[in-house]
Amino acid sequence: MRISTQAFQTRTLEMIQQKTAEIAKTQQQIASGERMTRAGDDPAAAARGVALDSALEQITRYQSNIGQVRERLTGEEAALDEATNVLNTVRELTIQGGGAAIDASTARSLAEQVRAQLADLYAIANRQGADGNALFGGTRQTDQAFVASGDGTTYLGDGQSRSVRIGPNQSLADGHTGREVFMQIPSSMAVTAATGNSGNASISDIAVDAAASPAALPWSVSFSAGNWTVTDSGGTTLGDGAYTPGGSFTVDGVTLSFDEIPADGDSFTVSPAGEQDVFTTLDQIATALEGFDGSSASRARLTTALYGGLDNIEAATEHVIDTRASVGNRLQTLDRAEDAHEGVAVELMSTLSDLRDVDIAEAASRLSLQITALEAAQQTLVRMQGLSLFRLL
Amino acid sequence: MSDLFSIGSSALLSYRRALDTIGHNVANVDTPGYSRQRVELATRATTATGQGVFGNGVYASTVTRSASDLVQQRLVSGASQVGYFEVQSELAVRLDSLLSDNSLSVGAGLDDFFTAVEAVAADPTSTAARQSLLSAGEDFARRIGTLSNQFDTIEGELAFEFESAVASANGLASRIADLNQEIALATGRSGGNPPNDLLDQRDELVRALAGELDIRTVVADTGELSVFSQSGQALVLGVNAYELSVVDDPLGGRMPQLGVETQGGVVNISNQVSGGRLGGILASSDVLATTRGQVAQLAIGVTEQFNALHASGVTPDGQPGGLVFNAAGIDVLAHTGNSGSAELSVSVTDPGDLPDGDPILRFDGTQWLRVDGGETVALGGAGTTDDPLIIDGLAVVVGGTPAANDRFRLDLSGALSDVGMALSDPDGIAAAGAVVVEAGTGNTGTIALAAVTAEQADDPSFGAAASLVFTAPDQVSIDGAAPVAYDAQTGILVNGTRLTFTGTPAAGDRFDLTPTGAGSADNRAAQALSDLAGSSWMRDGLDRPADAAARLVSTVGNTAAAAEAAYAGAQSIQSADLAERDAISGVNLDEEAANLMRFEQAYQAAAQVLSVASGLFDTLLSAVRR
Repeated sequence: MRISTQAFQTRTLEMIQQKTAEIAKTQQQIASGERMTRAGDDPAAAARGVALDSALEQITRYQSNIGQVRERLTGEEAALDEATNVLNTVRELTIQGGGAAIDASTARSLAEQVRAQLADLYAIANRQGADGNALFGGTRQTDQAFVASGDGTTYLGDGQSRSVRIGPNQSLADGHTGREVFMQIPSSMAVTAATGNSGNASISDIAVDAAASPAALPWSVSFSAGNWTVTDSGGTTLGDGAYTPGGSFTVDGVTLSFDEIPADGDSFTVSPAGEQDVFTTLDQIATALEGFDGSSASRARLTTALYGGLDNIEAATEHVIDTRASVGNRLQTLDRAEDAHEGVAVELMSTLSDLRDVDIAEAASRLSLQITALEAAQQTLVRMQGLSLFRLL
Repeated sequence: MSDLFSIGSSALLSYRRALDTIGHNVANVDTPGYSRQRVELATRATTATGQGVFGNGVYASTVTRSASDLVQQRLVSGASQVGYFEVQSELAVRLDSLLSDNSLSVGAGLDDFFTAVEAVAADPTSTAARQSLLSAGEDFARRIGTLSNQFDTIEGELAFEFESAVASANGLASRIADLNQEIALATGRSGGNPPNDLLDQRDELVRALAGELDIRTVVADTGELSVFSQSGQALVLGVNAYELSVVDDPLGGRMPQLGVETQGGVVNISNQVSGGRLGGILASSDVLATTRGQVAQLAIGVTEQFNALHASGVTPDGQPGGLVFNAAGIDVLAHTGNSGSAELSVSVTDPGDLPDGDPILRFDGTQWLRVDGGETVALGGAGTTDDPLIIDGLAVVVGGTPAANDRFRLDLSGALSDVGMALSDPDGIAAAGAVVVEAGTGNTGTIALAAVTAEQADDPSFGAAASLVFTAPDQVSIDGAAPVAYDAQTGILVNGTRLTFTGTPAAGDRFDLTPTGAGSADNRAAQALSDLAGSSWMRDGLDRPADAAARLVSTVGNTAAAAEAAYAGAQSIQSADLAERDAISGVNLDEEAANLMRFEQAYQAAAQVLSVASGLFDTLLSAVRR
């Protein structure tokens, strides 16, 4: 085959340029550490890279959410711990108040302590989260979740809690509403003494048969001439009989035990099981203690009130501890989710590195090979330049 | 004796010609398109005598060039391929680099944006989180805006290149026509001998013209070369050249199209050009339009869907969510040849099902057809407000009266330039759900709220207060109406909001819905917005936004890789063809040097012959001088 002089030179030059371009590319890969400069270098890997980036970003979001939810739940856990302490203290004070030896001034001092604990409880229930909103305010932006109003406590928040994504198809509520924690505390059937009772009788036990369905509560229990009478809310008599101090009587599956002797006309109200907020419970205990004047009739009323108060305090404590357990479970869920995300993130990052990062050892040896080839091509060109017949003419 | 003189001088003259030609070859060793030439030597007419037939020497019969028509044909089509793929690979690589650029990456923009949305969902009362949602939205819009601007710039450059290619093709065609004339004249003047240098020049011009668009050539007996486009339109006919021109896209496209002058006026041949730079530019503008369409499908899909969902939320001020991004305004471009009075208006009904590319609609006299994408599809809907034409996720209402064969283009890709943030107030972000749902305080069943989803934000009573009372474990009464069946699987749809529950209700259990007022710290709407990142709602339920972004990168990357491979292939074919041409036509200096010596020796020998002839004459003269 004939080779034209021009063609030979052009080809050799083209080859040198091509080698130079290859060297430039390898050099850029080594300098940037990236295998691809644009998607066209490896479209499939580039597209996977975009998808993996997004998956990684998604995991970062979950991790950041987990951090925030953990912060809020930890805050709630601390508040619930403190609330439990308050309730335990009040429970001790209540038991003290029920002691036979107390006098009026001790009762007043106990009442003051209960009031102080109530104030503490308000402070705990109104605690604010990092965002400046009440921790127990539900999804309502409010500084305070609870305010004491004339006849009780008003909840300013709402009844829904916020749920935050912590994983694919996994959300977690970042708290409990104040209504759940402090307001909706189950209370059992309660007996209260009428304020005018002048006898010494007080409630000592209420037992409800699980199968029974007491009708038309609240009932009124009245004593007269050594007999007891129970009437329902409509005034219908449900039962009556002779009263024995320290004894008990059963109406509609409800067994009531009283101590001591009532005066004629003394009456008690039996109210149904329901819900009572913890603030009211504390307030009732304090009010009962404050109302004690040292007389035996007053002691009987206090005993009845504290009997109910203790019941309610225990129910509240149990409720708060249950809530705290639920917070604990959520924190565990967070830990598990976080571990899972960390594992996936490591996996994703290693895949991304395989897709994008250049293998330096391979690239370096490729570079030296390319440089050798370039040098060879350059020398060929120079040597062949000398081989012209015209030089010999 | 005079014969020897004549023979010697004929040889001198002939080898002189041969040496001249070698000089010409050496001189043109680097001239593009030059074919090496050779003097054809032949014996002169003989003298017949009784003693025999005597030769009369040599003469240069003609000068030929070493050229192969076959290789020329291959080079012509090769030049078209190289021009075609060169433009395409340049554009594809450019688009690829643009979309692979981290600061412009749509995927990264979406990731950042949804991260900011998720941060608002996690902490809806944080002004900082809201502010960064707005910044991330701005950044996403900036990326889209920059891409849109870059697309415009590239289009402008392509249009400019197109015009210059048309001008260059016209120049080449007219020079070919001129050369046709010169070649005819020169051939005539030289008594039919080929004007080699002119032929080389013309071949070179034909190859250059083929680099602009794909052509076919026909050489007439007269030696005139005619050039036709692949569709058969004459560009050069003998000594006449026909002008190519830039014509506007009748459907309002941003890219110019190619017309050619004919006796019947200018004919649009854009669809028939598939080679050369012009073909490459036309194909590139299709690639650009597809890419722009994909970016538009993604960006407008995300912004419209985001706006639609955001409208179901409630701001901290208690107002329903407004526009976060500008609403997409999709223009309708009418074909310049339309004769009817129809005007179309288009709206987005499903942002997750936007069409691929700009739909082109045609009215065939009785019904509307969609004619883009290679096939004709009859459209559902009557085109009225109540029953619009449905094109994937777009609805089109027709006003006025269309004439048969009227065409319209829905400029979805053009709407890309409008993508931007409409919201600038952090308190304008509607993170809260439209209703507060609270369980009744006296509920005795185990039922608890599982999820609250804004499903029909366009329900007129959306977000209004309502109460649900379970009258039995499987019966529920809404707002005191007659009880309806309750299915734990599907939940209950109340005023456009779907509630689902866990557990079992007891009779009398209730849930109350109240409109979310001002100052809510709820995150339900923000959560729904953030969930857009992780759910497959794009491309009619196939892609998550990140998948769509990845698809964009892979489509453009694959186009670039394919165009580069095709360009490299065309180049190596051209390289091989050029090598073959060089083998036949190229000048080899060693060969010329050898020929130079050969002809020099022959010239010297001829001179010696003359010298001998002269000696013979002298001998004769001295013999008769006595």
